[in-house]
Amino acid sequence: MHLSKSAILVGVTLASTNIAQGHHSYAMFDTTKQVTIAGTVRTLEWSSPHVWLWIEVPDGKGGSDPYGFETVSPAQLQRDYGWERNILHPGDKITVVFAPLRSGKNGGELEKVTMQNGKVLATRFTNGISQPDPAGSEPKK
Amino acid sequence: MKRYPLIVLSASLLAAGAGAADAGSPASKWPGPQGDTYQSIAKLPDWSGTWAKPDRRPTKGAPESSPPFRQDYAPAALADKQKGNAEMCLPGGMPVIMGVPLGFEFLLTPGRVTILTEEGPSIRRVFTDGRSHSADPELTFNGESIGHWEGATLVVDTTAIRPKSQIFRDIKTSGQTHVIERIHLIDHDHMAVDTVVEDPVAFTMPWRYSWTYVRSKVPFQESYYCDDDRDANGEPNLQPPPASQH
Repeated sequence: MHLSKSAILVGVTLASTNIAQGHHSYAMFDTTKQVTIAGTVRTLEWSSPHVWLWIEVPDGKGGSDPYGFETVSPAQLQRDYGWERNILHPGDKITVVFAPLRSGKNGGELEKVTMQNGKVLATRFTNGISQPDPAGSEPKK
Repeated sequence: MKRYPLIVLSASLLAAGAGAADAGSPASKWPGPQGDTYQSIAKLPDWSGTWAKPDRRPTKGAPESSPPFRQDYAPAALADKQKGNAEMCLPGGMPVIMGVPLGFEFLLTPGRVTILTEEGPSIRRVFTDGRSHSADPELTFNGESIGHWEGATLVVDTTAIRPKSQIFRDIKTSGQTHVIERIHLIDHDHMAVDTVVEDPVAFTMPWRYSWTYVRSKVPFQESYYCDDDRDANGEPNLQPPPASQH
């Protein structure tokens, strides 16, 4: 087989998954889409390997539905994006931008949070902030 | 970098003189403190605390983004459609483990430097007690690491890396991978891991790159456990935890 070097590199790039991306596939998230939704914090599940943010979103009928959003590890959120374990509290009104589940279920991959005071909590998936690491040793979107 | 040749030169001269006087100890091979006793460790640089590789994209075109794969190696590995180790709840192994954007700790005890990684309970034991590589080592994810100090730089030579370890992204090592790391402080808050990966089966030439770690104010975190929480369709568990968990 004769492939050019560039062909090999492209193949490498496309085929990558990698370590530290959470041990499972991210294929169920449609990262070509961005959805913005407002709700109130139910809980910030601060856990390794991945933090989950749970919010309640009004269902338009007087009730609400739970939504779950997955993001990176507590280590990365603290060191690289300035989060803290207690930065969000139950009842906080927030806006969430996320890549939705392809299944249409209530949740997705967390891209960023805007708090009521305007403060933005970024993640590695925040548009314009983070990109997959070409070295392949970092999580990829 | 400019001072390396000088250190190596002086090391050779001193080693020649020290060998006869102190045969059998680390000092017989290498000059300067080797961390063979606590008194010796006190003369080595302060690497205490947690070091983290920042979660950001390296410079475009950086050497670490383009390993010199042999044309018949990477396509073959990719054709197997190998899953990444992490997806199978296995460690990445050497050399990729040192590039994970998580925390590291370097523990110095006599004759040994132990590297802990937040990636998981994936411990690297670097023996600095003057031993040589084993004649018939067991192959492991992190390999067999023999180190020595050249002044304030820890030089680590790693062989016996299991072929299931990852050399780049999900691409596995060949079983003939040899990694040489020169780990040193750049300043008080930055550490460099200058790396050369040799693999005559996978690469056309040695692959050189350097990671920079930052001394982190965030302490060492709980391991980045394997959490295979997807169902058979790949869907995550969307059942919220009890509200009181926070």
